[in-house]
Amino acid sequence: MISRVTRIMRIVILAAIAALVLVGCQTTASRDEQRVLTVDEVRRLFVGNTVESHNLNTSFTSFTYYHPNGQAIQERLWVRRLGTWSIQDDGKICLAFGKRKAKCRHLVIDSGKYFKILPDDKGKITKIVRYRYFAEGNALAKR
Amino acid sequence: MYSDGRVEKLMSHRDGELLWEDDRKRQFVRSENPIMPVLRRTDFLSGKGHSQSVGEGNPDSIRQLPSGTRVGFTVVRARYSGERSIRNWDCKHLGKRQEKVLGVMRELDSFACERFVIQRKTWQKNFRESRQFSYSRDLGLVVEMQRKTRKKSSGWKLVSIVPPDKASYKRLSKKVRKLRAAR
Repeated sequence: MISRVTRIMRIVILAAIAALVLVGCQTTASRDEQRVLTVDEVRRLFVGNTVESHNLNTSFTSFTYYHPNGQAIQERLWVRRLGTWSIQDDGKICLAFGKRKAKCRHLVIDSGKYFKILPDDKGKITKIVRYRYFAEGNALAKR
Repeated sequence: MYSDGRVEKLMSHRDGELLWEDDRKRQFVRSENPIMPVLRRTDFLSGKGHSQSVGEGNPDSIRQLPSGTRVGFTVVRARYSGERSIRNWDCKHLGKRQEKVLGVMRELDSFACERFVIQRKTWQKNFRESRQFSYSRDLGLVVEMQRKTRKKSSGWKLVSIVPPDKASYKRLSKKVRKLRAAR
């Protein structure tokens, strides 16, 4: 009788440990999962802020001030240019400089880091820009 | 411009201090004495960084002492966040040599520096990093660096100097792209 109770207790304890391990794995997975940012999240990160971005293809760093009125001021290699920017309802951020047509891309968060992504024809996503730092206000006006 | 893809712009030069800025707009204040580590570093958007000043010793004495003489000094690093630490350096001048740099024959001074910490109990030196580098006095620049830490080795060479009137975006971006692609 005692050995049967012990066996049942062992099974209960093992099941509890297994459940804890599974819950732990699930929490980690959801924290690290890559997901597309919502329109509100994009607004919070960009409107009225200066953002440091790193182009993952060219390795160039840019600083862009996203003015709430839709104007974008960008500096790269000590040269500034003016453009326009906006956020679409689906959360895509659009940027245009000079006479070029605006390019609109989704942003994702992956392990706490923010990226701009480019999907190919088959829907495979490539990260093209990493956003390194978001600072309040127009930091470019100070320098 | 350096072989590792770094690019820096000289912003000002006054009172024996040079203010450099890299393409991430991080600012570095350097001494005219090449054995001195960066005097101040400030990151652009975060404002984070640190300042460093000589604690004990006289690193400028390396200019008068014969080659091979060890010059020891400490540097007090104060982070803008308030933390402070002390770094120990030993440097020596290895000698002079003539070498072509950026197409011109120049006199270079070679230096070897080592950073270490001293164990409190045993007073033993524990290695942290070494730097062996060549400095061109007429350019006022380190033209070649070999750095070793406990985990990795790295090195770079000066590959280009672009005067302000020629530093167009087109020219700079072309050169930087080429250097970074070759890394």
